[in-house]
Amino acid sequence: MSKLILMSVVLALIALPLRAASDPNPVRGIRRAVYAVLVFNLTYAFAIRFVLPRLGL
Amino acid sequence: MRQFLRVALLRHRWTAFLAGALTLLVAQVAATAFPETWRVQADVYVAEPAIVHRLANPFASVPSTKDVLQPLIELLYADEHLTKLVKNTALVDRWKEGRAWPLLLKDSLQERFRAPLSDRDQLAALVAMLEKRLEVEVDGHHVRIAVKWGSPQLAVDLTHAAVRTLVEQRETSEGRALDAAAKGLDEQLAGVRGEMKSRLERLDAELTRARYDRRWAAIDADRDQLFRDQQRAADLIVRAEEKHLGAEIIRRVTPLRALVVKPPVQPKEPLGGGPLARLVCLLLAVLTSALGGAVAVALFGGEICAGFQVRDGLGIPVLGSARIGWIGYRQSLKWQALVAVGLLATVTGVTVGLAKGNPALAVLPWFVAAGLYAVWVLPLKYPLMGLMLLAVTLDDPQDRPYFNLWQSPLYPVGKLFFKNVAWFTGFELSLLFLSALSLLRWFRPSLRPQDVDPFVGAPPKPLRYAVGLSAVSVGVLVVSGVLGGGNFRDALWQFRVLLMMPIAATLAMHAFDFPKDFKPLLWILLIGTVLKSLLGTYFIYRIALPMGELPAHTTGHNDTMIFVTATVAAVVLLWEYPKALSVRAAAILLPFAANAMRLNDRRIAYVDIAVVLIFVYLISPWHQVKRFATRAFVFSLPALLLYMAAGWNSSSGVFKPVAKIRSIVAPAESSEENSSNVERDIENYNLLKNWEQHPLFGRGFGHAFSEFVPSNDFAQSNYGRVGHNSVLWLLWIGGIVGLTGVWLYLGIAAFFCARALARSHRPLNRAALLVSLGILLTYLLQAFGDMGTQSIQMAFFVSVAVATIGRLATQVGAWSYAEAVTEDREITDPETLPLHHLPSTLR
Repeated sequence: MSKLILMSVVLALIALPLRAASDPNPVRGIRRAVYAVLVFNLTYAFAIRFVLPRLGL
Repeated sequence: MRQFLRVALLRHRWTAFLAGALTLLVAQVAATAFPETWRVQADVYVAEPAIVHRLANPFASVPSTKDVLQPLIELLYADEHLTKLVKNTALVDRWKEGRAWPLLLKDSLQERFRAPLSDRDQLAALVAMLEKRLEVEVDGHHVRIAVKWGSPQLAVDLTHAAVRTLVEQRETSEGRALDAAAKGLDEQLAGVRGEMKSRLERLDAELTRARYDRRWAAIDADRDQLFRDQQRAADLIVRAEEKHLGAEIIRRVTPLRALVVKPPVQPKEPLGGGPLARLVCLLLAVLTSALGGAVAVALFGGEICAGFQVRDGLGIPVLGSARIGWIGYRQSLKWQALVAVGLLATVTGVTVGLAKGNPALAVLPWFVAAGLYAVWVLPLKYPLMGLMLLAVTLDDPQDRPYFNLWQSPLYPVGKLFFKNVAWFTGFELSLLFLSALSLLRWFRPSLRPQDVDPFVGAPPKPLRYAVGLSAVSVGVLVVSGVLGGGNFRDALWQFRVLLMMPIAATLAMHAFDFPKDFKPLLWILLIGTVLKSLLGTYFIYRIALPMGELPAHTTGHNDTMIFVTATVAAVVLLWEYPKALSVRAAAILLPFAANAMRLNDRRIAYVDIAVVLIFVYLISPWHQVKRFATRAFVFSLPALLLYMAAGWNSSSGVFKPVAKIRSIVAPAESSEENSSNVERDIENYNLLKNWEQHPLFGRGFGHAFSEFVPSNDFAQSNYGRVGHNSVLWLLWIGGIVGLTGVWLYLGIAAFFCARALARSHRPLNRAALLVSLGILLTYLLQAFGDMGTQSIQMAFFVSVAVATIGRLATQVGAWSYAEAVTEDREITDPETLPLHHLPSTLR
């Protein structure tokens, strides 16, 4: 589980923009992609700071 | 071309003659100015027999050969030793022996007009020269010592002296340490015995006094101490004898520990071979200068010598040609061309004088000039493709190719390209040179050759900005790191590949023209895969196994990217275009790629392929092959599960794939994989604890992370300067902000990849986009798994992938419909946005 959390940033960096690409409006799509990556990265930072130690890493 | 060469030589025969003559003249002068160099080599076999150590020093660990040799090499290069060599061989008195005449002339002028060179200055100069000309090479147990000098006898004397130092050091160093230890113990023993003697005297006196006073003697404390001293003395005797014995053993077995296999002998010929080799070299240089001079003057003089120039220059066909008897000049020669020819002929002459019989060096100046000219007039994509070919074929010495047991024929060129030259490697310097060239063409369009790299179809702006953001982020992290107390040299080593990625991506976006350039790129991938697979097979079966070695890997870590990309390319071609052409391509690529991955032996390669194929599956619409693959998977699932269950605990060859999967997802407790995982977990923990100190903006480049929990392979991470998990390492360096800034362009590239895929109908374009997406994923997984950010080869692959996505996105109107130059107009219409191409999961 802790490995998956650590690895998630790599997969999310590709998966979130792929999903955002389906927006018919390219400008809105790219905004969605960038915001999604930013929000995910902040969540990731929170997770590895506070959640991961509880899982044993 | 032959016609061009013939006419150029005929028209400019005088220029050719003068260029050849100039080379000949300069070569003769240079040959006398740079005297012969004689190279003398000796070979010493150094062994560290464990049995000797067990006998000589039973409680000390047996040092490895490397531990033993490293201090010896340092000693040979030490200033004191070099000074001793110079003095012992009386080099100062033989100052003029083998010295070149220009240097002798300089000495006499200095003596005449200034003060003569003092002995001290001569000694310092000779020590500095010897440091440069002394070569010490360690190859397994062999230490090869070589000296290059202007006089053969001096070269022999110096080599002999260096060998003697090495052997003496082997004789005396450890024996001396043991002797010193034994002497120390002897002294301690003497002290204890002295104390015992005085104590006995005191006891005697006390006993006599007690008898005289008719009382009990107070001797308990001294008696107990005497017993203790006696035990201590016995112990010291044993230990001292052990040390004496050890020293004696070391002295007796010295011939076994340092054996001169090949003593220094005077060579028959100087460096570069005999007179015949020199003559051939000279002739080659003269002919090259003559031919090069004529061609250069014809080319830069703007003359038309052959039909292809008319076709290329004017774009009209040549229907016929007539030979006329006049070979006069149609245009005046450009003086710049003549100056360039004269300069090159002179440089060639000097090189011949220095090369001393090396034919490659003799023609090098003309080839370098021709190469630079070609780079200038050809589109940028050709040098980039050349670099890519080098990246996929050459051996990177830092990547431990062939487990450092064998050097392939590509190793020397690889050394030139992947080892540090001037802060950067040759490969990185080539990229920087091409960047400078592009900038020059960009800012001075008048200098740009006609029709070379017209920048049309630029990738979407957000992608270009994101690539720029990556470069800026790296720059900011370098500045913040160094200002925060980091070491710039460490920082350079850490950031240079990350910085090269946006640079190479910008170049590739500018240079490549898709889909035209897919085929050559696919060929390059094929060449790399086949070559590495064949070399790896040769190494294992003809080199390693006959040596009794079974190395953990053959090709290096960086090569994994080549094999994964080749596998993904073959599968994706079948996925998108299930026709005979794709089957043929897969039939060639897959066996070689599979063999190469088997020899590469990295679990992460299989993880990369699996993850990439899952993404390809998810992102693809429900076409025929996807339906077929899904059905096949569902139907075979029970059999697969049974196979997995049966082979989970089996070591049989039939279940090898299951064992591989198990080693990835759940390695056995005692396995090597598990031990490696534990070490990685410790390093990850240390990286995260370090990151917690600067979570947002990171530490910057130029620092080393600290060990909160000690790790067994801290040395492998260069003592905290680089992490195996490059994602966490970059997180520690840049914080969450820096990580996002440096890698956001990979996400933006994925975004445009999906949009371009939705608008692209050509199978080759779609396959190229999917392979590019695969490269991005592979890079990130390699970064997570094992130092992916430190490989310039991987960075180059990513750059080409980003360029592919960017250029195709523009072509199919993935960003701006107005810019689309497309394969299919109707799908670029915003009203008919083909969302049906995306699977429902992504809509």
